[in-house]
Amino acid sequence: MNWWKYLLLVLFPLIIQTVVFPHLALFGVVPNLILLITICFGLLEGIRPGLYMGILGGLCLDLASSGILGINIIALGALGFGAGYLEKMVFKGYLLVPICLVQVGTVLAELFTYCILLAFGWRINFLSFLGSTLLPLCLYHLLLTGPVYYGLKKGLAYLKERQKVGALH
Amino acid sequence: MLQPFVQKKVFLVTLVVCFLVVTGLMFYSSQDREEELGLEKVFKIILYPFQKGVYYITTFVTDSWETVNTLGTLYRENNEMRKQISEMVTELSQLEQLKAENERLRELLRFKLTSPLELVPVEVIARNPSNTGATLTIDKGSNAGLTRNMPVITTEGLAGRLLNVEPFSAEVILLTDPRPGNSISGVIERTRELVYIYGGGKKGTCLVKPSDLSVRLQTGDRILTSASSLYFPKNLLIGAIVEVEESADGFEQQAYLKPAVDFSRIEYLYVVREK
Repeated sequence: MNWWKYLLLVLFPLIIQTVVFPHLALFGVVPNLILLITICFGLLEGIRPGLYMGILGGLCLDLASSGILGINIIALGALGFGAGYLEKMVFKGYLLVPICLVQVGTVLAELFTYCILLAFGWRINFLSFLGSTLLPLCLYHLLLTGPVYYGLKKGLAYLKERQKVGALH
Repeated sequence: MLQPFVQKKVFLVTLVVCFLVVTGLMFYSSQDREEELGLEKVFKIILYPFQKGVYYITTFVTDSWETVNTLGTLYRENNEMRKQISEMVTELSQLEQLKAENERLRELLRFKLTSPLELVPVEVIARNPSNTGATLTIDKGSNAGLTRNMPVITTEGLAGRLLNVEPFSAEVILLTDPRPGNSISGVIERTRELVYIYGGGKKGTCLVKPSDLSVRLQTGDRILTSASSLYFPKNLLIGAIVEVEESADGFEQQAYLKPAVDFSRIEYLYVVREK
């Protein structure tokens, strides 16, 4: 896949995440579309594409959020790598696989972010973080994994088909 | 034969180098920075027109939906407001007479105006993509004369201050943002005693700590900005205390403050600029 396709796959959800989803917040929480896409993409495409998507997505998230640069690069890079590693081990047509993986990924990424922020002196109450951020976020991701996974699968299949047709011509 | 092994090794070395660079970046960016990195600035400048475009589409759709849903109510409200406007026109002419009289008296007494502040209206176009940070992107920047640390308010009270300013947009750090350095001083309206307010703690609240042990906090206390504040004009409403915690011996206190502004519904803000 070309680099600009990766960029488009990251920037479009990022804009939707920052502009549209605040209007659709669930218990005050906005879903992390980049995380969803990274895991689904890794699961569909393998280790390297998953890793690249995670690093690029994490970089864009970090640049847009004005926080500590690098947290999302590490978290999403690792998740993309992990999801890509599982690509050949699991049956991809079964929706339960991306759903479970996204849930585990969300918990790991959020806990990692929480620990780093805490280490750098951010004042976040753990119980409040657990009840007001992590649980609603898992619930939101549970609702969105299906549409994102199938949308991405269809989109990637369409792109590959077009590439094949282009190569034949 | 050795090629895959070498390739794997190069890949792993690249990953380790990237990890080290990112860790260094984390330490660097965790400090309170006067200026953003060039890459951050460029990324935000590129992202802004797309965010604004999507914002206008979203606003158009939500506004149209709301208008269709509330058409009947709007008609009744419209009639009611027409009546109120005709009453207010009379009041306004009386107020203008009073204003003119006030100005004449001020001139006679050579009284200096107490509020040399100007409000710049701005619109919220995007929010922080993470759920831990509490920042907003607004549609005006250094081109409209905005600079870092200018106070941001709404009609309900204080919202925060400007964190980063780009030419066409700016980022507002809200009172509830939990990063270190996001703190202000305030006074209890009831006693005029000094307290310190820190962003964070429980989600959607701020942490309040008294300036010394003699200061006692109570649930329901309203907190205002203090005259000793670096960036904020005094006597702006910050919020009210909703919960007070005491140490086992009862000497030390800390409290949670609910900001006067509802940040989840915020759409329009004012940046306070000195005239």
